[in-house]
Amino acid sequence: MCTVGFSTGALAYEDFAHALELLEPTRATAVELSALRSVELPALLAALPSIFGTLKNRYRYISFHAPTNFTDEPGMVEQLMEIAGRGLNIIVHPDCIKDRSLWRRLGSHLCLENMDSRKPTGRTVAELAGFFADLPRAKLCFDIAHARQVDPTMTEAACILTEFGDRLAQVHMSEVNSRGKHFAMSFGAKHAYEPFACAMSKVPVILESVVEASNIEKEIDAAVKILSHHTGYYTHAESTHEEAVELAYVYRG
Amino acid sequence: MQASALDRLRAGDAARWATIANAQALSRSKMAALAEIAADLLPTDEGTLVVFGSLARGEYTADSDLDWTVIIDGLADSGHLKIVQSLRPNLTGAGFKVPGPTEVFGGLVFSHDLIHAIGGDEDTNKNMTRRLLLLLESAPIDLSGSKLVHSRVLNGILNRYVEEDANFIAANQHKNKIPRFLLNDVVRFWRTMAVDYANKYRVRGREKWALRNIKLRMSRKLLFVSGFFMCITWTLQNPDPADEPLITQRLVSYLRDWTQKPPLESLATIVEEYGPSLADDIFGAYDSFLALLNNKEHRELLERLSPDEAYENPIFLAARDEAYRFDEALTKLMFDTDERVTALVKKYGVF
Repeated sequence: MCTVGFSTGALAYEDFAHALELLEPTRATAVELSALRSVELPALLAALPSIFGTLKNRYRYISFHAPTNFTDEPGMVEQLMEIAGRGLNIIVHPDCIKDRSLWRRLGSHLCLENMDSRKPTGRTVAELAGFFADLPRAKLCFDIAHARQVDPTMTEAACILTEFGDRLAQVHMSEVNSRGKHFAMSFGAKHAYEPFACAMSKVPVILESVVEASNIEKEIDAAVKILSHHTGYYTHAESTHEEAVELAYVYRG
Repeated sequence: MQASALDRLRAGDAARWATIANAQALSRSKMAALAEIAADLLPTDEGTLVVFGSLARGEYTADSDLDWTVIIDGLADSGHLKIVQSLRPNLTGAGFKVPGPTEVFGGLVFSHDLIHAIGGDEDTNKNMTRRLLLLLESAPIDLSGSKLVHSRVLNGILNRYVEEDANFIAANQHKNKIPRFLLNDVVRFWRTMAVDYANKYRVRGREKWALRNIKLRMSRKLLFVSGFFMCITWTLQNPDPADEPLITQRLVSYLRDWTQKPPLESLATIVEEYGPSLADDIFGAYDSFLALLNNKEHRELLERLSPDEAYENPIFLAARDEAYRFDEALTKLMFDTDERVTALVKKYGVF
């Protein structure tokens, strides 16, 4: 069964509490707590002790997205150690890392994300290789939308998974335009992602699609269908038998 | 840094094929100069300054001109023209010779036509030339955004060849599959270069005829041979059947990696693996060719010779003899070194 959920940052800008409320009644089985902007971090850290137990009961997988606009790098790592202490994967943008030695403290909780084309580094295998060499315990957050934006043929995506697939800890899924803005997945994006279903279905998938509350379930459904592509079966627990038969027919046909 | 195949073939003798080594060193310094000139001009992730010709091949000599193009792969912006307008005087000011009169180079190009117009009426001679040279002898300047966009456009072009190739439709399970659509375009380009060589004699007369003749026999042939091996050697890699769902990406990645190496280095990898005994004839002849281009007096002589004069001129005849040596060694490489290679050359080289 696939583990699919949402990033709080995609659901409610700078308001993780509201995002969690929106996600709670859905079929999501994972959540990424996002503090993409440094100003979001104190409130999230303060709330975490009281909500963590509830979240653990509600979701199979919880991760944390680190801020990207900090200036005090040692101070940021220090704060993130608290998150690591709770056993969460911490998603970090490689271009935010200046002193790699500082980040070794996060050990295998550090999860480096491949970047979109606007970033100066971390976009390709060649650019990621140095980070993983210096941070040998770091894992990979494979952002398939970033990979597609960098290279629409998905060749770079395949190269990233070939090279760093053994580090794969989670996936980010959405559609990203040339300016780096996240959207719900289009037909083209879904089609491009399907060949990667086998690798992606083995780890939790976090959706970063910016969607209205009414479309959360629809986007989760789309992700589950993509992930089910390699088996030919629609495997989500709440899918109906008729859907499963219909989809199996479509994929096998 | 890992030694190149060419260096390994030198077997520790740094003086072997010294003109090639000098041209490679000069090319590196010229590329560094170009990166400085263009550093602030290009859009972050939607444009690339690409060089072609001798500089891209790592064969830049004292009198080489600079074939360059700014490729835009992103949102259309009328301001892009200003990049080109700023580049031109900066390049001239830095002592680079301007591209030839064909207008294939020295301007602004959009990735759309390179990727979409393959074959058919829209695929003009100019578009095909740009596309194939992008695959066979191009290099982005050493700026991360420029390299990213160059790589993305290469992937886009290669992906078209593979995606629409009947050999790579999922149901086609026959062995020894090669990217035949791409190979056909490589062959078409080689023959087009040969035809255009004849046409240029009609249009331009004797001007640079002898130089073009020798270049056709050497550097142009090198492009074809490199492109040919790029296509047929994929199947020699014994692709993993488990990779079948991602075969398009795997093949595009293989082809892209090949296109990002200079053609002499690509050829060296083949010679090293299948015909090391041919190294002296192949790279020795090519070294002589570069030495000829690097000799101002001889180069200028070749630029002046008419066809009638050329066949009585010792400089031209010596260059032609080296071209014969190059040709014969390449023919041996294709037909007399490795059974699998020969089988593929026979299977795909004619029909």
